[in-house]
Amino acid sequence: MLSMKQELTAKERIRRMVEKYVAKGPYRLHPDHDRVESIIQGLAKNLEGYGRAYCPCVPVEKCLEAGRKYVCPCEPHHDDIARQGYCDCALFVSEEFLNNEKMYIEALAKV
Amino acid sequence: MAIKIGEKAPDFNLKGVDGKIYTPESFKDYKILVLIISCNHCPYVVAYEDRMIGIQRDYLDKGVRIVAINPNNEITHPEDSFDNMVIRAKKKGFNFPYLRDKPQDIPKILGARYTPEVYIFDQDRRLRYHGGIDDNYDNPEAVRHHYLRDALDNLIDNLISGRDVGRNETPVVGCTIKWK
Repeated sequence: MLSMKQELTAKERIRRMVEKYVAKGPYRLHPDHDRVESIIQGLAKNLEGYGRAYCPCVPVEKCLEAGRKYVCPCEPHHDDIARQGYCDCALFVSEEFLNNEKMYIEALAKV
Repeated sequence: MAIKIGEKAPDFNLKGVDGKIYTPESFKDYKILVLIISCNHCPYVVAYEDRMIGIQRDYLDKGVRIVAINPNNEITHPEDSFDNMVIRAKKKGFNFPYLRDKPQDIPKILGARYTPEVYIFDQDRRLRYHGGIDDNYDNPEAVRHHYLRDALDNLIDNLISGRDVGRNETPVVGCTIKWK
């Protein structure tokens, strides 16, 4: 388990990386705040534990074997977003997916 | 398309890791049916497996049956093949059926997007809860909201009174379903 100080430091580094990447474009952040926070937490945990911000949606053993491939933003994310509108962790999404997802979340909120 | 609160559970006919074919009829003796869209490879699912086993153990005598369904594409994620499901279920000692949905029909009908994603159906097999297991996949000790347990407690309490389950939609955190 990470100490609060370590976790905040790693989280802050990840958050900055993610914000910088999104600002550069063309991708956007997933609109579900809880989801984004959870992925940032997972990336931070991997950064602290393994020295690299491995995708938290990929088993860490697979990440370690694959070298740089699953370090966020991972190698497959361009193809994944082109194919399905979101990267496999659903952290980065396309503009089109974002608009559809916002409608979905608004519809859920009305239930 | 996504199933809404109050709507009927989907029909299914799926093979379990024990080699048997399961349908909704297989669970007719249970008051509450919990479908969890799950898989082998996802680290979020792996983190939740022991909690799923614990919840099944704690609620079995209250008429609750958990059923895990793996719809993931085994071409892109071979860890999620049926053979690997059998191995995983044995290794972890799953105390609930673990079913393979190769055509990916069930998550499509449910509107599921992630693993693990939970759907609770009442005695009439109407959806009463959709969401996550709890609010901290990483650390079971730090969980503040036990979404699934709370929903089951409320539903069991309210089966007699017919009242609502309470909070019936919660955030889902997990891996995306690997579609074909």
